[in-house]
Amino acid sequence: MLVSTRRQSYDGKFRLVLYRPDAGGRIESRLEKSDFDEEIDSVFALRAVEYERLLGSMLEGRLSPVGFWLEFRGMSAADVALRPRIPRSKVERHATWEGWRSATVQMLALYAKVFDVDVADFFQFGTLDDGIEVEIEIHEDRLLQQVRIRKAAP
Amino acid sequence: MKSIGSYEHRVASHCETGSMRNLLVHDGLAITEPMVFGLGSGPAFYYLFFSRSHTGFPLVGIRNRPGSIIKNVAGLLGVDMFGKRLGSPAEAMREADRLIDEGRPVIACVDMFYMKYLPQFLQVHAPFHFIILVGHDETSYAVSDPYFDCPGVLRRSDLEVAWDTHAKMSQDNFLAYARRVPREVDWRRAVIAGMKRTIKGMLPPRPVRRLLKFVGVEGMRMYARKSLEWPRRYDGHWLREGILWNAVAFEDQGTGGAAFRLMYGAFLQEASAILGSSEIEGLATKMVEHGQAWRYCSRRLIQIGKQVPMRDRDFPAWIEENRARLDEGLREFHDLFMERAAFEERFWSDLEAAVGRLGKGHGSRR
Repeated sequence: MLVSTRRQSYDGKFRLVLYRPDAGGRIESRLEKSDFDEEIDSVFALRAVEYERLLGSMLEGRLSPVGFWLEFRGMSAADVALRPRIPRSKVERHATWEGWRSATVQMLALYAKVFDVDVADFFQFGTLDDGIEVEIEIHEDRLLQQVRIRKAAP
Repeated sequence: MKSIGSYEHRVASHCETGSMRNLLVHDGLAITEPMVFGLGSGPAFYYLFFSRSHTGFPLVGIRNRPGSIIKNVAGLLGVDMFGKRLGSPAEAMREADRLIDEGRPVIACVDMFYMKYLPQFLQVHAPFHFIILVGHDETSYAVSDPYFDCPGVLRRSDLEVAWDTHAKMSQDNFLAYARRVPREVDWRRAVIAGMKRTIKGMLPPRPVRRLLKFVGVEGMRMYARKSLEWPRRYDGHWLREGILWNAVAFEDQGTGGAAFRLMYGAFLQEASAILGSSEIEGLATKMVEHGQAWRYCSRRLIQIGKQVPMRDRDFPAWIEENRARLDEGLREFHDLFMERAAFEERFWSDLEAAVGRLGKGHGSRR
């Protein structure tokens, strides 16, 4: 997984339909910015903090890459297990380093679909500096990743 | 991409009501989103203490079961609707392609996580998101998603995963379309029936209420009581995210504000005009005021949640120092939310009485 060092931020451009009373008490629908933009932005802030925390846990051996993605995507082992229909105990085992070592490529491809990543994203966690641009192409049902790294256009 | 030329994309506050409205409008029936919500008996409250959200907090349901709005509206308006879970995404896509080629927009129930055209903060696992497929080619679909202000493009590979998740509450490979939409509707009858069903859901009979304390008004009370326990049950960033998520879910997750209560107020205003009832109009005003008060509750929750530090390592020292302040904030929220529950108990009873007085009158078509 390649992550930009620049924290993603909510740009406030997203508008949603809200129902509001006018001065006469009539309710109207309006497409407008949310009152809770700041909270939405804090979702991104929290994600960035979470990424660092989970990466730390993984590098210290307390979490496997499957465990990393499980927590980073805010899912429970039970929820993940339901989707590709594998036993929950197996997911819990694969979330630890010991269990992770025994996960097959086929199993990783199933997890990759649930987490919406590529199989390669279980094996590398890279950081991109500003000014670098990456283009990723996925082949063979998320098993193969082709990466182009280049200087970002000014 | 081959698209249905006559289809007009419109945004809405909620995916199911917005998709159903867009479908009916496309087929020539003039209807608003609040009317779809009201006829669909959308308002609800469930404190699902046995099921956890991604934050670890119990799930809170503020509308009826996904898919019920489409079913209820079709039933009340006499829309001949096909709605079925097909065997596989391949089968569902074949059927969708055929229908789009015939010029029929297709409703699909998918996991919002894979809707790549949405802003990233909306890409969360919610396997009950309704969209309309309005065009296709070999690699992609044109999608009319009420949450997005222009039609989006979704790759077939993403739709395949999103449509068939096997997740809890998902409706795998669910596809719906209108076979026939009536030109004439008895709005009066539909509006009254829709209100009656909503009242039944919010105020079930007493024995049921005693048994199912997590449903309807009793569910609101249970939620308020449980909010006092949050600081003892959760800690660190989960406590922060759980509290904030509750507020954002009430306000920004496709509710139109105040956990759908403002949209229901808009429905009641429309209903009062159809029924020619000043009593319903008065109740609509009360529902709008209730919605505003609910929004205040959400604001308080956000203020409380934001106090909690984002980093787990800062939490122990913070809670040591701030436990009393946190408890006090949540006590205030509890009291405010209990007031909302008391309001709803009175409100649904008053609406029941008002609907009863309307009797079985005839007429009022539009």
